[in-house]
Amino acid sequence: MNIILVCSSGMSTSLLVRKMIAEGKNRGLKELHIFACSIDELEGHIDQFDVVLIGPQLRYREHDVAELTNPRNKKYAVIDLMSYGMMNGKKVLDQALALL
Amino acid sequence: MKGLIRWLEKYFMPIASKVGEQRHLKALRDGILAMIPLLLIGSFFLIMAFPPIPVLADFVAPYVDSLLTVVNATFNILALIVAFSTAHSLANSYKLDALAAGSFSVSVFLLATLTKSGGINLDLLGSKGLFVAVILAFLVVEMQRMMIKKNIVINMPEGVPPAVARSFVALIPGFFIVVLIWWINCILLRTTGLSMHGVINQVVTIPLLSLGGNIFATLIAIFVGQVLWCFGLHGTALVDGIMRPIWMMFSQQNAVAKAAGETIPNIFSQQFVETFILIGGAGTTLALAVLLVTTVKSKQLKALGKLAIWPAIFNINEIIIFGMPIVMNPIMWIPFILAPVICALITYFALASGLVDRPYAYVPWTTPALFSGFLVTGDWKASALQFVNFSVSAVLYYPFLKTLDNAKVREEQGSETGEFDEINKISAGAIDSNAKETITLGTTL
Repeated sequence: MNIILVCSSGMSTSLLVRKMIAEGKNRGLKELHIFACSIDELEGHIDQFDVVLIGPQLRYREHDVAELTNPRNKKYAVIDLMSYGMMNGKKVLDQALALL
Repeated sequence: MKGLIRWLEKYFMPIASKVGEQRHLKALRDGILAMIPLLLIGSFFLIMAFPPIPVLADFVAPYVDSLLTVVNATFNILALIVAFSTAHSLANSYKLDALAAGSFSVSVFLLATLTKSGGINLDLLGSKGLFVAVILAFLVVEMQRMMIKKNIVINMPEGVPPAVARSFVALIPGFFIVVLIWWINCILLRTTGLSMHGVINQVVTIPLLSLGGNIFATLIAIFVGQVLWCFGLHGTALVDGIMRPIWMMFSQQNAVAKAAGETIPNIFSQQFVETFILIGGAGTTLALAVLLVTTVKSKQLKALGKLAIWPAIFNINEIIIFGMPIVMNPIMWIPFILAPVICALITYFALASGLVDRPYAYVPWTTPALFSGFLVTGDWKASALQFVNFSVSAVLYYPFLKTLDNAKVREEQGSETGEFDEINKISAGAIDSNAKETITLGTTL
C-alpha cells in the first residue's frame, strides 16, 4: 500500500503523513509506505505509489493530478477539510484505503 | 452563505484552476524555485560579510571582498539560472527536448545581452536580467514547439537509433532561434544602440516593476491571497505565481546594493511579505496560535491550539486554517484578512521612514519570526517590528476568537457526545509526534 500526499511545498502534508503512519502501525498494516511532496514534484514520484491524496488548499489543481493519475489507472482524492485541519490520520487513512 | 459558496465553486474554481495549471506560470514558478538554493547560499555569505554584531564585523573586515565573490557567483547569475530552468520546465510540459530547450535559452539569453563592443554587462546576468530571461525562455520553447508541430525538423531514416534521431530534432529549431535572436540584436544595436536585453528592460521590466513596487499593488496582492485562503485555496501560492518574480527581483537588487556598499533601494521585496507580514503563515496567524494555547476555554479549540502551535512557529498554518476552521467561517475572515493588511501598512511605514533597516538577505520562509527579522536586515529593530506586527494581529484576533470560543463552549456543554473526546484523543496522541516533526523540519531546512 503506497500513498502519496501532495500540497504546495509538501510541508503541511508531511505533518499528516506521520499521523497516518502511526495509525497504520496501530492497525498492524504491513508494507504501508506514505510520502508527502510538492504538487510540482508529483510526476517524478507517482509511479511508485498506488493512490494520490491532495491537500484541500490545492483542490484547484485537481485537474493537474487527474492528468497524471488517469493514464496510469491510479486513483486520487482531495483530503476532507476538517480531517486535514485536525491532522486526523485515522480518517485520512480510511479515505485512502477506500480508494483502493 | 451557501449560495455564495456554491457560486464561488462554480465560477471561481475554474479560474483558479486555470491560473494554477497554466503552463507558463508553472514554468515561471519552477524557474524561480531553481534560484532559491543559490539565494540562500548567497545570503549566508552576505550575512557573513556584514555581520550585525560590531565585534564580528571587525573580525571579518579583511575578508569581505573574498566573501562577496560568493555573493556575486550566486545572486549575480540568477538570470542565467532562470533562463535555463524556465525553458527546461516549459519544454518538459510540452514533452519537448527539455535539455536542448534549456541550453538554447541560456545561449540566446547571452546573445541578446551582447553589447555593441561585443562584451557582456555582468549586471544583466543577475536580478536586472530576470524578466528578459523569462521572456526569452518562453520564446525559445514556443518557437521550438511551433517548428516541431509544423514538422520543420530533420527526420532521420528508420535505421538510425531513436536517441540519435532525437538529438537532431532539436537542431533546426535551435538554429533558427539563435539566428533570429542574433538578427534582432544586431538590428536593435544598430538602430537604438541598445541590446535586445536593454530594449525588453525598457519596455517591459521597468513599467512592471514600478507597478509592483508600490504599497497599493502589495496590499491588493496580500488581500487577494487572504480572500482565497478564506475559501480554502492556497492563496499564497496563487498570488506568488504573479508577484514573486517582481518581489524576488527587488530582493536581489537589495542584496546586490548591500554587497556594493550602497543604500538599499527597495522597501518591497519577498522578505517584506514573508518575514514581516506572514508571521506564522498566511493571515499572520502565529498570534492566533498563541491565543489558542493561552486563552480559549473550549476543549476543541484547546486541542487545536496544542496541535497548531509548533508548526505555526515555523510559519506553517494549514492546521489553523482548516482545523479551526477559518475556511468558510465568516467570523474569522475579518481578522484573517485585516491582520496582514494592517501589518503591511505598519511595515511599510517602518521601512519607508528608515526606522527599521530594509531587508537584503534571504532566509527560508520556515525560519521563525524574531530570528528571521534580524537575519534578513541585520537590525534588531526588525525583530521588534515583527513583535509589533505579532501583537497587533493578536489584538485583532482576540475578540473574534472569544466569540467563536464562547459559541464552541456552549455547543460542547449542549452535546457532551463522544465526538469531541475523540478529537481530543487524536490530538493528544498527535502532539508528541508533532513536536518531533517540527523540530526535524526546522533542522533540515
